[in-house]
This record gives sequence, structure tokens and C-alpha cells, in this order.
Amino acid sequence: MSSLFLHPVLPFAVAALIVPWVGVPVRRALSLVAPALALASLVALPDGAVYTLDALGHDWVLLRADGLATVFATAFILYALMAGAYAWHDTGRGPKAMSLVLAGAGTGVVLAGDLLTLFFFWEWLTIASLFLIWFGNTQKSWDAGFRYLIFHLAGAIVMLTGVLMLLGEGVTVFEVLPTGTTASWLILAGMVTNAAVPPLHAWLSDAYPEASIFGTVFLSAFTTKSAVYALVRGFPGLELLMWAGVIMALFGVFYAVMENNIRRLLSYHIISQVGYMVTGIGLGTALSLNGTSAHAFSHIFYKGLLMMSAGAVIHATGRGKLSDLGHLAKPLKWTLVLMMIGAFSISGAPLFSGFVSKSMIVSAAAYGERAPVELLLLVVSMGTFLSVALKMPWFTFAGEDRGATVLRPVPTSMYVGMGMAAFVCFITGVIPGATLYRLLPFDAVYDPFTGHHFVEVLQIMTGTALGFWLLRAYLVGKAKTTLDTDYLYRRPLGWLIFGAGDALGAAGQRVAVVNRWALDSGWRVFQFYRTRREPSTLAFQATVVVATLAVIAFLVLGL
Amino acid sequence: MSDRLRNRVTLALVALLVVLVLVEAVLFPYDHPVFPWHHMPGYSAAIGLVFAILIVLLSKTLGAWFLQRPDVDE
Repeated sequence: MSSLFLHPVLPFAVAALIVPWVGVPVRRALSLVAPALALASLVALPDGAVYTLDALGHDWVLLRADGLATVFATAFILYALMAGAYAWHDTGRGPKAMSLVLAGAGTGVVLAGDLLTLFFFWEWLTIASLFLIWFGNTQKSWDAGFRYLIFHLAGAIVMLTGVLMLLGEGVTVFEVLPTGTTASWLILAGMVTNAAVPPLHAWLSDAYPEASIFGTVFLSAFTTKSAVYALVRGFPGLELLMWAGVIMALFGVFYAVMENNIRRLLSYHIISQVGYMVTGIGLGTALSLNGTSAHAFSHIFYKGLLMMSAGAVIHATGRGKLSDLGHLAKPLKWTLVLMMIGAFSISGAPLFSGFVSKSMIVSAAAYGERAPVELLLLVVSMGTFLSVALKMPWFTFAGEDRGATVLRPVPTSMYVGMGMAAFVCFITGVIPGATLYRLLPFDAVYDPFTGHHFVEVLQIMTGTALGFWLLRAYLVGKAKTTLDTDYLYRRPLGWLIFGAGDALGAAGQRVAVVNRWALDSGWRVFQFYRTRREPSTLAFQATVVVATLAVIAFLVLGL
Repeated sequence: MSDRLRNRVTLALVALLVVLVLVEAVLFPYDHPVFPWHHMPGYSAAIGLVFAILIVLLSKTLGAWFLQRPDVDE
């Protein structure tokens, strides 16, 4: 039984249940104590620990702490600690509880050993993310949350159908899945939805920027990387994923170059960077799969750092669009320094984490003689440096003065969270052999510190900087919205819910009226609890709804 | 920013790029060349410069054509 009590999800689950009922100091303490205990549990687990439970007619593998699971779980738990420190001033009961649920669910996904346990935690990720989006507490976050819910429910139904089909065939353990069967295609569709592979990606860039600044910091780490883990485990070497990953990387970086909203720009870069990881999965070699694992680890911290620093800018100025920012280098100099550490890391600059992780995937493409893949990934490197390390900081901290001023200082706690993430970005980039590479699960040898690799990266960065310098006038932020694939379903969805009544006559119009009333009422009820009642009421009701859904799901699946 | 400073930055970037290509050619050629361009010093610099220009112009063109609309927040 000792394994169950050492399950790293337990501290998150217990803390999430306690948080709604206690005062601010205890809530804050729990947001740090829970990940610290989870990390201690993970370290204390013996190598390859497994915990199984025979219940409800199913062999549950609640814990499987092998090498692949451990590298992702370590990153998730460490990041939860840093994000908890960053969000010290976000004392709301609901956001604190749901951020703990999110971190616990992500950890649960990567430690799950069977398909049903995986699906159980997978859905908790959706529920916690949904609430964190809604806690953005604006009409836009409410609407984006609903679109997120519809997208992920559809993905969940598809994935659950595949899981149940496999269970019917007697497959319960989550290992490499057979390809070419209906069940595996359905599960793959569910996984790539959470990985945000285009055209199933728009939920990410739609919803993440609408959460609170603290909510986005948590959201950026868990859902897509859990999906990356699941794809590494279930579909290594599937060539379709290699091309999907390349398209994903290019797509994300292209949209990021156009984007004006800094958190949406960074959201597109989640899609782009996950594209590298998905490419690595499709390549399917030991080096590429190590590269995917290493890059997911690096990405969790540098993307978190970038979201944190973007959040610090929004917190200080009340503005989040490049067209409204500029000339902030002096008052926000430490935020700029920390953002640049994240920017250099995502760009794969020497001495930062991306240098030792991203290059593994690019090298694996070259060694596998995948010429177009190698070239296109190098192009994406250029685009990443252009938009994250040049365009975003230039128009935020330098550029034209658009009247942005620091209205309130960045709290020390935010700097602590950013500093911790920056430390990981730097230390893994300088001594990967003693840190990140020790965690990698597959047997492959790779040395990132060659003279040519240094020069190659510096050439890409300098060439890109020259291009940016010559054409920077074209990149000035404009108050524009960029159309994405969600445009294709927003209108049909709106028509289906509200407009179809016109085509269906009087009865249909009544349905449309009821739909609009239901959605408006939901928003009003949410606002009522957020603004007029004791905040614990919302947290309590959220806990009850979520727990009820979980019990129903558990019973339905178990029986 | 004065024109003189702008030109100096441009020249500095060009000079750095040339130095890096020479360093690659003389000191650090590709360790394990696989594709023909791995034998060409400066291919990374070309990717950086050429595609930076291309992606900026392409995004600008497509944005103006149909991908970007006036901001709904404004």
C-alpha cells in the first residue's frame, strides 16, 4: 500500500479539497506545500514503481513511475511550485483550488498506467482548465470557456469511444497502441485535440489569453504537454505525426508574427513549439523521442516564464497589446531581463534550455535523412526568434511611446516565480548532463555543445535580427484581430444555437430564445456568485459539480 | 533614433554575420554532414535572413488581404 500513499497526485487532491474552506494564509501555504510534497513523493518512489487496484471489475494502474512518466511529472510538479509562487497574490478560493486540480490532473495523466485512469485524469484537466478560463471573469472569458468546453467534450467523447472499443478487445494497459484500427484513430483524434494540432488548435489561442494573468500561467503548462506525453507513449514513430508536427510548428510561428495581443502571440508559440515535439514523436527514433521529452520539459519552464513576464507587464500597465505598449524598459527592467531569458530559451540560444532540447529533434530529423523536416524546423527557429525575442520585447519595452505607464509595481512574488523558472531555463542550458539529460527515458547519445551548433544558432539569430531590423516598420503592432480556423465554426455554432430557429419556424424560434436565455442566465449566475456572495460559495458549488461529474463518470465507466 | 545610429546597427549586424560565416567555414564546419547544404558555410545565416524577410512580407500581405480585421475590442 505504501505506493498509493506516495502517489504524487494525492497532495494536490487533498490541498484542492481543503483550499475552499480555509483563510488566505493557509491557501497560499497550500499552493506551495502541495507541489513540494508531490515532488518529495515522486523522488521517494522507487524506479519503475507501479500501483494497481482491482476494483469495479477493472484493473486500475493508478501509478506507473517509469522514465517517460517521471520526466514529465518532474516538470509538472516543479512548475506548479513556481506558478504557485507567482500567483501568491491571486488569493481567490476558486482559482487556487482549480490550479491545484489542474497540476494534479496533469501529473495524474502522465503517471496513469491504464487507459481508464488516463481518461479520468484527462477529463479533470478539461474541467480545471475550464474554470480557470472562466475565472478570467469577463464576458469574453465566459464565451471562450464555452467554446473550450464544446471542443474538449467532443474530443473526450471521441477518445472515450476509442478507449471503450479497446477495453472491449481486452486492451487495458496504456502502452504503444496498435495503429490502423478504428479505436486507435479515435484515441489519436482525442489526443491531437488536446495537443492543439491544426485544425484542432483554435481552442488554445482563443481561450488561454482570456483567463486571468495567473490562470494563463497555469494553463500554459499542462494540457498540451500531457497530450504530448500520451502521444509519445501511444503513437511513437507514426509518420503522420511527423508531418502534422511540422505544419503545426510553421502554422503557430506564422500566426505569432502577425499577432498583436502578447498572450495570444505566446499561445500561438505553444502550438508552434508543441509542433517540434509532435515532429519528434513522428520521427520515432530514440534521439527524437528523447528530444520530445527534453523539449517538453524545457518548454514548460520557458513558456511559463514568458507567460509570467507577459502577465507582469499586463499587471503593471493594464495593457496587453503591442499596439498599446512601448517604452517600458526602464520602469520594468527586471521583467524585461526575465522575459529575455525566456525568449532566448525558446529561440534555442546558447546557454539556455532550448539550445539543448530543440536541437535534439532537428538533429534527429537530419540523421533520419528527413531533409524537408530539418529545413522547415530551422525556418521555425528563425520565426520563433523573430516574434518572441525581437518583435514582442521591442514593441513592449522599446519602440514608440504609446502612453503606457506603470500603474502599479510588479509584486515580489511574481519576480520570485519568474526567477525560479529563469533559473531552470539557465541551469538546464548550461549543465544539461547533470540535470535534464539525466531524466531522459530513451537510450541515445547527444552532445549539444559542438562548435558548429553554436555558430549555426548564432547565424540564424543574427540573420533574423538583420531581417527584423530592416523590416521592423512592418511589424509595428496594429489594433487588428487575426482570423483563425475558429472563424469557421463560431458563426455556424452561433447560428445553430441562436439562428436555426428562424429556419424552423415558431417552435425553433422558441428554442433559440431558450438557448440565449440559458447562456445569459449562466453568465449572470456566475457573476452573482463572483461579485456578491462569499467567494467560497462559488468554490463550493464548483467542487460539488465537479465531484458529482467525476463520481458519475467513475460509476459509468466502472460498471 | 538618428539615421546614423540606424546605419551603424545595420552595419554591425552585417559584419557579425560575415564573421560568423567565416568562423563556420574555417573553424567549425558541420560535424556530421548529411545533406548537400551542410557543406555550405552560411546556410543557417541565409535561412535566418531570407526567411525573416519572407515571413514578414507574407504575413503583411495575407494580413492585409484577408487574415486580419479591425480589432473587435476597439
